This record gives sequence, structure tokens and C-alpha cells, in this order.
Amino acid sequence: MNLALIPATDHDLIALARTGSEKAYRELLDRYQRPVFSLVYRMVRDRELAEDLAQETFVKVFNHLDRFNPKYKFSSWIFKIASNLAIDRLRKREPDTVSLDGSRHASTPDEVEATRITVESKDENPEEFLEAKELGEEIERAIGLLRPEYRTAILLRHVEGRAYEEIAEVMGVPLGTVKTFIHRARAELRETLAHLRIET
Amino acid sequence: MHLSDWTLEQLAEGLLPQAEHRDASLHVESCARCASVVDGYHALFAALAEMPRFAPSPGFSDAVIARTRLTPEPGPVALWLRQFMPKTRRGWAMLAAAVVAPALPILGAIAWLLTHPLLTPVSLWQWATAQGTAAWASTSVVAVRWAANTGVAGVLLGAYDAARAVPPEALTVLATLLAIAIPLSVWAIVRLVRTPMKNVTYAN
Ligand SMILES: [Zn+2]
Repeated sequence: MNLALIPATDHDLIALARTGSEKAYRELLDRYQRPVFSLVYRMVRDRELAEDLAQETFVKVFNHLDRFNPKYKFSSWIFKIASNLAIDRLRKREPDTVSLDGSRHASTPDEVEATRITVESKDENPEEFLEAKELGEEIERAIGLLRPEYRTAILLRHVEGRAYEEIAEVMGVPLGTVKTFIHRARAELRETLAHLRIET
Repeated sequence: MHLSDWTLEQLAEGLLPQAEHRDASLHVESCARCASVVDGYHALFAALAEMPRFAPSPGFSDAVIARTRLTPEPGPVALWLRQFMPKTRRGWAMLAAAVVAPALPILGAIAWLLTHPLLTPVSLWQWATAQGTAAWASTSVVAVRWAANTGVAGVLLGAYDAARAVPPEALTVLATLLAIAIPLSVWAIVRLVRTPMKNVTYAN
């Protein structure tokens, strides 16, 4: 199978990876490293820790492909492992020290700056960018205030564009619970962001 | 009466069933309060959708690959065989006992025979080969008698003559085909043992 020519499905790639194809593993990494890293990073809000957890996620998934149930989506499985690892890590931390501005392991202002979630320029207009950057950072901050479960649900819904059913699968909770998580998360976000008067 | 916040949220997300969607839209068109709630949701969704994805450091993929086992999984035959393999140390001990136990009396008998003054390895070998030759001779006699009685001997002799009549070129071709076919079938068996079949479900 030539991966460069045929847009292989995730399931094809898994079958290929199981025969030992490094190329197939790398293609799966290309597809999922940004989504997985972004989710974990926004959960733990510490770049270095997020990188470790994302790596842990892939290693766990890749070394247990034989446990993958093809009835489900590969994305559900990898997000499930990633969010479980992130939530476990958050529970191990002291409850009130989840940092909004940078790693709580950062001790100097430079380290705080280096580990802070920042929004990078996407367009050419500097004024518009500054506005967008400000809004983006306010949203990142507001997301950081949500409970980990709400945060996972809202990120999967709005950043990854996942269906409610898939989010329920990822989080291992009933569909109704996901709807409640997302509804409450949005209510909290609207309240936190009320002062911004965001317009469409 | 205004619509519930839940309904407005679903309307903004486009998740309402068709009939409900139509009714809710009609209300929102004529109600400033509900319209502003829907607008608020649209603005929130748009802002969230703008959130970028972050990339891990450039060495990320290599670091993952370095920790991934790239060896192929065992194929279905190996998996099938594996289920008979002991899974614990106790299991291995029992398997070893099952193999060794029947062998012990035989080894004991051999040891006893070897300590007998008249029995040496050489004399045992001579005895064993004599028995073997006798058995072969009697088997041959039986086989020849059976062939003669059933008329198979004629068929075999006919086949032998026919084989001698085959030109040597044909035999060379036949030998070449066999030389290709045998390694090919060995390769196929090895593949079957080592490579998992695609459509086999390994769900747990
Ligand atoms: Zn109304």
C-alpha cells in the first residue's frame, strides 16, 4: 500500500502499523500529534508536562494496538487515553494551584512567560491580530478556569469538532452527562467572558 | 413566553429537530431578548472555533517512535499455538513434568541395560540394527506379496516404464518447477505464521 498516493483510513494505518510499518506509525503521528498535544496542553497548561503526557499517550496507544477495538473510532481511543492521563495528572496536583498564566513549576518571570499559553499571529494585520490575540488569551484563561471534565468536553466539542456521542465515548460517561458538561461549561465561559462583549 | 436557554443553545448549535428548529427560529425573529441570547452563543462558538491547535516540539515524533515496538505482531497460527503455551512459571513446570515423566522410566531402563556386563553400546546397536533389518525384511515380504496378490505390482512396473519414457528435458522442467514451488510454499507458511490477517478482529 502506498501511503503517499492513497489516503488511507486510520483503520488501514493501524493494520499496517501492526505489521511493523514505521511509515504507518508516523502517518498516525502526523494526523494526531497536534490534536492530542493541544488537548493535553490546554488541560495541564504546562508545555513540558503536556509534551510528556502526549508522548505517553502515543507510546501507550502504539504499543497496544492489539487492544484496539475496530468497532470504535481511533480518534476516540487516543483522545480517551490522552484525557485520562491529563485528568489523572491534574488530580495529583494540589487543587488550587492550576496556573492560568504559565507553569506553576516556573519560578522566574522568564519561565512564567515561557510556559504561558500564548496565541500566535495568524493574519497580517497587526491591529486585528492584537485584538484577536487579546481575545484568544482571554478565552484560554477562561477555559483554564473550568473544571477538568468541562474543559475536556468543551475542547473536544469546539476545538476538535467532535460529535456529542464521540465525546461520551471518549469520556466514558452517558450522552446526557456530556450535554450537561458542555452546557454548564458554556454558561461559565459566557459569564467569565461577559466583560469582553465579543461580537460576531 | 421566551424560549428556554437550553433550546436557544441547541438552536444556535443547529441541533434542534426540523419542526422545533422552525418554531424556535420564528420566535427568535420576533423577540429581541431571545435573539441576543442566540447571538451570544454564536459569538462564543465562533471565538472557540478560532482557538488554534498547538504543535509539540519538532523531536516529538522521533521520541515516540523510539519508544514504540516496531516488530510485527505474531500471525494467527502463532497466536493459535500461543494459547497452548503455559502462561505462568507453574504452568511451565507442569509442562516440563508432563514431558519428562514418561521419559524417566525409559531413561532408567537404558541406564540399567548399560550397567549389565554383557550389554555394551556396541552390542545394543548391533541388536537394534539386526531387529530393524529383520523388521524391514518382513515388511518388504508382506508388501511384495500384497502387491503381487492385488495386481498393484503390474501398475507400479508400468508407471516405472512410463517414467523412463519421459524425455529428460521434461524432467528438467519438472525439477525446476519443484525448485520454485517448494521454497514458495515454505515462504507462504512463514508469512502466515508471522503476519496478522487484515480482517481478523482482535477485539477485547
Ligand atoms: Zn423570547
